[in-house]
Amino acid sequence: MNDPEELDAYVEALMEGRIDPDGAEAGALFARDPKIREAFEATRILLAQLDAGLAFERSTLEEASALEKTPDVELVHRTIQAAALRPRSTGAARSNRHLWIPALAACLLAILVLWTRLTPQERPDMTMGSRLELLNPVGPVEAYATFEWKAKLPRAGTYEIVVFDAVQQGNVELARRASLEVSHWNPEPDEAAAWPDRIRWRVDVIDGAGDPVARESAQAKRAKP
Amino acid sequence: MYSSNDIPNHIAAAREEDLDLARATQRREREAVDHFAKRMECVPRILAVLNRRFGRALNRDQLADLTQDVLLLVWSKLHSYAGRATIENWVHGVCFHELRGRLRGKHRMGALTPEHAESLEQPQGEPMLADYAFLLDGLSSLEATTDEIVRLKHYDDLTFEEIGKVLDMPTNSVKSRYYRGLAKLREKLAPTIQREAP
Repeated sequence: MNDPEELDAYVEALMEGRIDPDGAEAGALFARDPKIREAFEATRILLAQLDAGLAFERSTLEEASALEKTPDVELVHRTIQAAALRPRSTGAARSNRHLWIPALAACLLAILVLWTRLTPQERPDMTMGSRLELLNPVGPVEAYATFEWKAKLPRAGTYEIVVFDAVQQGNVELARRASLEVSHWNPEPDEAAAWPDRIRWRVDVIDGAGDPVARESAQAKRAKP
Repeated sequence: MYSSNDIPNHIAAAREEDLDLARATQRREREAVDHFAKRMECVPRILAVLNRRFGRALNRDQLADLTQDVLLLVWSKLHSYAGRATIENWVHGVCFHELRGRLRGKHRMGALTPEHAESLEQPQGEPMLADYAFLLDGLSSLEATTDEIVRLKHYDDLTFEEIGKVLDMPTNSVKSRYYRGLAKLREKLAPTIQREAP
């Protein structure tokens, strides 16, 4: 059968029971054109897959709503509220880019001029009080154990740490932890053991509004046993 | 509780409400953002259940990390939510893809136990679930109304007549779109169908 619409019409008639799939009419159809049987059988399997897949989705949602308490409920609200505070990137904003780029350049130039005229003692702290120094692991190490850094955390601020594969090209991410409130992090030992022998890690200091205010990165090389 | 006659109206109203909520949230209306954040409490819940089905391959911190990533992804994709399913169903698809992606990444790095690696292809107690990701892709490739019809038929167990009421469409149009959708899905999911063919 070369006409897909005719084929679909037969499949529909079989699925709807207008043609009994076990009857003589269906038998004659299948004998005349095996493609009809193939399409009918494939549709039956497809329907079973649809039912199973969507039943999985339904049962997951039912189980999820029946959980006694929501894990990480504060994280959910904090993340959504922070996302809502971020400026939107709209088409209108993009089309105005030709206006604000020269304005931004002029501002930067003004800051530079002011900066060069100030004495070193008068210069403002451009890190907004969030100086960041990565302490460990840096350079050759025996193992990737505790990641430590030193920083001044802004009010309601957090840290985010990301570990990258430094052997492969392309910033392959190995691990990421956000919303840290302390200046250290211990990866799971089995996870860290699986990392390559050279890694790069980065820490961002995020202020209470969810904006990064300081960033540093360092490399570490694990000595082969 | 709803009587069987009310179900199509209830479903149609719920979807419209969800679409309104998504649009108002995008406009950053304060009340809508608060309500949306409340609805997003489903994300860590869904991830916790899915993680259990994948043999608890992620620990608590890793799940919290993934929760945040999923929330940011949902936020960035909110403009594409078209009300074809409830917000929770839509989010479920995102959670499933992201969790599976995260586990595959760990698997590539050799950081999954053999049991967890196995559950990646066949989550516990659900023999056909390796095909679920395929199925989601297939459904999302359908024209919007057809996807909605297939979901209403198989997820909400509605008759063609009830689907017609939800979508304000004649029953015959619903039926023909449904079968055309099945034909497209048959082509799209041919590899998984052939595997199970007698």
